[in-house]
Amino acid sequence: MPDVESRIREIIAREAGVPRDTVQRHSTLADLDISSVQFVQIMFLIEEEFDIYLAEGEIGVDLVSVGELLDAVERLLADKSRSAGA
Amino acid sequence: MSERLPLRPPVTLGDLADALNGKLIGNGEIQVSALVHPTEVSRADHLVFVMEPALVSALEGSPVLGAVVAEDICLPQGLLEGVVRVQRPRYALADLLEIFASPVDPPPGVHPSAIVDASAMIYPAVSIGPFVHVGPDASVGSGSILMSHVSVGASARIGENCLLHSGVRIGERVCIGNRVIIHHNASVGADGFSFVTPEQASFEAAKTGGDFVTTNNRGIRRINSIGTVVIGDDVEIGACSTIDRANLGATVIGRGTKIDNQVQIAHNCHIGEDCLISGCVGISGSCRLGDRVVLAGGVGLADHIEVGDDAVVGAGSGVWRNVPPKQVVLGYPAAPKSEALERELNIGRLRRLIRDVADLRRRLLRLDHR
Repeated sequence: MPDVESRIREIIAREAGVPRDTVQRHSTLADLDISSVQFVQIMFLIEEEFDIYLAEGEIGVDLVSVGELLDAVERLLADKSRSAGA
Repeated sequence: MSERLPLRPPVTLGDLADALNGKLIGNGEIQVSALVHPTEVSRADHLVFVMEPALVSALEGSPVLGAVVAEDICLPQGLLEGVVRVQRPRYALADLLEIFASPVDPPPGVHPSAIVDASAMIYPAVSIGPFVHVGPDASVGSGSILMSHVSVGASARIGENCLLHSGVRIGERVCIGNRVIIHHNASVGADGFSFVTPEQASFEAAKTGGDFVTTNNRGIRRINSIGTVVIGDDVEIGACSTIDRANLGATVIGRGTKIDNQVQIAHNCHIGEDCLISGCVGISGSCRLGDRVVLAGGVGLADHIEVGDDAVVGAGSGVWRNVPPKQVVLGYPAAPKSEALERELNIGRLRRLIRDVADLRRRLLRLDHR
């Protein structure tokens, strides 16, 4: 199964309509020409993909880069994994 | 728009670079005579405009020599002999299309089939096309063009250098500013949709009542529209748009406002200056828009709504409450952007949330049975 980063990059590339290799950690929403309405759809698809809820304040439409989104998802997945193990 | 415009084709790339405030790279002496889409180049004197990277590949192997290209688009070395680089492509496009447009240029004078009332005032250099009707005491300012089948009602005023396309209807006493463009079959100055009943009407009761109304609408009576419409200078009104006259006073469209096709602006509305109102917007009676307001496609405003200066309303929004200045609102009902996006996300989450709650419920029941 592809790792978290490649699955997220795939979702972003598909929704933004850009080649996958243009979605880099340092890419911003503006770089990828993603509107805030599109970003909400991306958040929704990521939540579905990983069965998580991106909490208010954790992530928002003012997100700066793809890297920050990846970090937030990885944090949530680590929390989920710890909870499941507890 | 550059003060050096209007140029007329054929023009050199050097002249274009000056006119567009662009940066010339390569041969500025190349002459171009027509602006075409990158996929439609057939001659060396064609000019192309490239504002998307995907269009670059269309130029490979074509006879084109010169192009106007957005600053951030990469071009293969040697693809073109001359390029004008521009920072704001869509703004440059406005200049380019003015240079290369084929303007409406009918002959001056009154077509023999037109009917112009003897009391109407027609100023110099006006062109009045076939089957136009200009009513009593109306006036048409100098340099204005009325294409075929336009009608101008009694005592209406058309300013200078206006362009009214075929089929435009201007109602009696309507006042149109200078340099106004009105597209095919638009109607300015029809009566407002204004009616009243002797007792409280169902739609009035519905505002404060519950799921059912106890009143009815017997004896609907017309409220006449004896006011007018005032359109400011430099306004543009799209095809089949309709702007109704006021009951009293005037429905007002402020200077510089641009209205797309199939927009309905009801009686008594006041629209500010430099607003952008996109296709299929519906503005109910007595709404007030500030200056520079943007309404995207399909927005609907309930009656008596106020939208502040510089506010932006997203496509398809339904506005039931006033919008403060500079606020961006979206959705149905329209809400501030962050709230609307959160609402959208939460609606998308419902399916999973219901599943999760069902799962939790099952687990709790299992715990209860232990």
